[in-house]
Amino acid sequence: MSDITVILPALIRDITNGHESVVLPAGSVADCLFRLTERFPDLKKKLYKDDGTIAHNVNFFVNKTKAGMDERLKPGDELMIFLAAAGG
Amino acid sequence: MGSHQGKMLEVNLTTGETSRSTVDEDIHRKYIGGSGLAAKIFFDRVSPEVDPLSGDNLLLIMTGPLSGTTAPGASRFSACAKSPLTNMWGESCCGGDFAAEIRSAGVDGIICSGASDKPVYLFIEDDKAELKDAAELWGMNTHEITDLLEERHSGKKKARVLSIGQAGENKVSFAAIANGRKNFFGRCGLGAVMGSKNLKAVVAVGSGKVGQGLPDEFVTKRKEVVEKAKGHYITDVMKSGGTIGAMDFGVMLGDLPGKNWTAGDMMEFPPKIGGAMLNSEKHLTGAESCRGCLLGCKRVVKIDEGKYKGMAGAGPEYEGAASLGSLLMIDDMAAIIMLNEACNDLGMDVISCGATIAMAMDCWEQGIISADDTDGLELTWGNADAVMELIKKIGARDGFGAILADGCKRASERIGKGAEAYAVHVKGMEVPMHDPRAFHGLGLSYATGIRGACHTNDPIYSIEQGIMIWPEIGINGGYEQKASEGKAELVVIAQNVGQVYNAAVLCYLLMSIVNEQEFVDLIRTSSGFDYDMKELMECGERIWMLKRGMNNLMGFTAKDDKLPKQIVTPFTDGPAAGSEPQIDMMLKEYYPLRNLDEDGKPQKDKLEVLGLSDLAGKL
Repeated sequence: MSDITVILPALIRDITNGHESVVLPAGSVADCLFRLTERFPDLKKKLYKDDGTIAHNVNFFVNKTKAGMDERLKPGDELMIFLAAAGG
Repeated sequence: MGSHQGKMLEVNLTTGETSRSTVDEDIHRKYIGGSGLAAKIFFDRVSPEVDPLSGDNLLLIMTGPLSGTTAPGASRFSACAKSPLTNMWGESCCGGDFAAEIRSAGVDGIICSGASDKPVYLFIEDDKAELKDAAELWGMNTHEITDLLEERHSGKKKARVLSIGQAGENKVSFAAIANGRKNFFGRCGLGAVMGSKNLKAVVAVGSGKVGQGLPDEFVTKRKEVVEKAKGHYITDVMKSGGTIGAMDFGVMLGDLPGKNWTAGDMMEFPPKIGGAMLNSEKHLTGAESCRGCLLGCKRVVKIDEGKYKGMAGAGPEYEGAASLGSLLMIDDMAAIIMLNEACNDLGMDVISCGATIAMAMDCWEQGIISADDTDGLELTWGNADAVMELIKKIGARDGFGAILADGCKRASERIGKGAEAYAVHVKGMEVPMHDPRAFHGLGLSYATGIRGACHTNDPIYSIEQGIMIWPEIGINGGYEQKASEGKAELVVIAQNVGQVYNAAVLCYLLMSIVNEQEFVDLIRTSSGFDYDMKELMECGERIWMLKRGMNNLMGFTAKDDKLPKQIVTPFTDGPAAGSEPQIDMMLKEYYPLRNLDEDGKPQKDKLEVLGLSDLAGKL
């Protein structure tokens, strides 16, 4: 398990008690997400569909590179979560 | 009839006469309103060969079935004409506060024909409409004339103003029409059409009511959508960051263009010119909404220090920040705010203006042009001072600005010496600030767009990002953004539904919040027509085919459905490195799905089914 810094979007900070980031031990994006929603259960409504899979508009970036759920993580990695928005 | 007033205000600029015409209810139902109904009226009345800047062109200002109601996202309205930028069908959509005013004055739209021999403005007050002398207003820019006419005509009720600035007067091919100080019909150069008619402004004050077809059900459905929107994350995103907030995220997908589309890695730009910077205490003073909207996506900004100190007004949208910022390698937010404001005041589309200047900067770098060509301006990347001077020259059609004033396609042809390779457009329309190497379906949408390259005429950009999921019409989500397979079918669906929301003139952002049924319910209960999704999609297909057929009659064929090399050449770095939209493969799949023949013309049997036999007869 590596210590991963998870950057949380402003939109979900009401759920994460205002935290802009948290550090979690995790080996993969999926693992990290599991631990994140374990800590903040209400996040599930924002990130998951009713069938339990990740919503299509949720994006993960590891060190600012787009990543899938199976992406392996190493110590010091930074995981960013973004909910897509199309504007302009 | 439901919310439709059933009447159009006819304004003959040549004779000065105004009158009201009626629109058949069946036509309203089939073409919904907005740019759909405008296309039908245009097709019935205007020769496809019309010179866009002649009095024979029509300028249509159109509302939709929800305009003037309390529905969210319904403040928008359309302006349509043959475009002087592309020489094909032109339409533009704008938010603000004007649409409700003209519907409250008892009409669904304004049809301007002919051309005045002297500057005039149109004043509408309920059932009165008259042309007034505008000699003293000629030469004013959009902010000044808006303030003046609002003060002159506001009484118990505030007058709402459409206007053109010097760019429209000078028939800059990408001149805009302003609604107030902060909303614009930017695309397609419709401000130049207004200028060609010597129509400086339109002022409207309406006090009538706009009804609904099914008022009780409308109230219920509207309330449901409002409640949903209040708790939706898109509302939070737009309220907190505006459209520019998307830059900070999009750059990581490879969406943000840089250096006239040649820079793959733009990660350094958003911290300087993106949402976080514009929304910081340094610049942001507030957020504003269009009439009746919950989202509040418009940024109000100030500049307190430096050479632009004292500016206060509208902040750039994402498109302005990218087209006048990253595309030109300008990384100074204050400078971008000023460049954006200059375009707004002169009345010019920020996308086309920035993209045309980007072409010139690329030509400068390639040694195709020099200071001898540019009136001494050094068009090096990032030179914001030179860009500001150039914007003023374009608006005034002065010197090198007169060459750029016709858009990047024609400007590059006039410059010659290979400049055409650096003009990034589709059918003359400069490409908006979303990179098709990051979204392949968007590339197909650009190539086949009904007004040229456009990111809002259909929702494929939202669909590829998984924001808009409408399973009833085949939008299921989970699409690989940097893949071309399967995108043709998706683009056809997106184009049809795009025509529906553009005809209903609903905000593009609302499409990410409502589902299919809520969308239908808003239009159905307001219009009073018992639409279902199937019928609305058929309307969308009919409208798309009509516009496509008109473009064919205006001289465009399959050979024009192409993307400029600059936006398909794979990057060697950045988030979209190695990605190349397979445009030929997508087009091959697209034509039969779209019911187009090998020349890119609608198949006649399909036109017959859609009730477009008159178009079939002309093609």
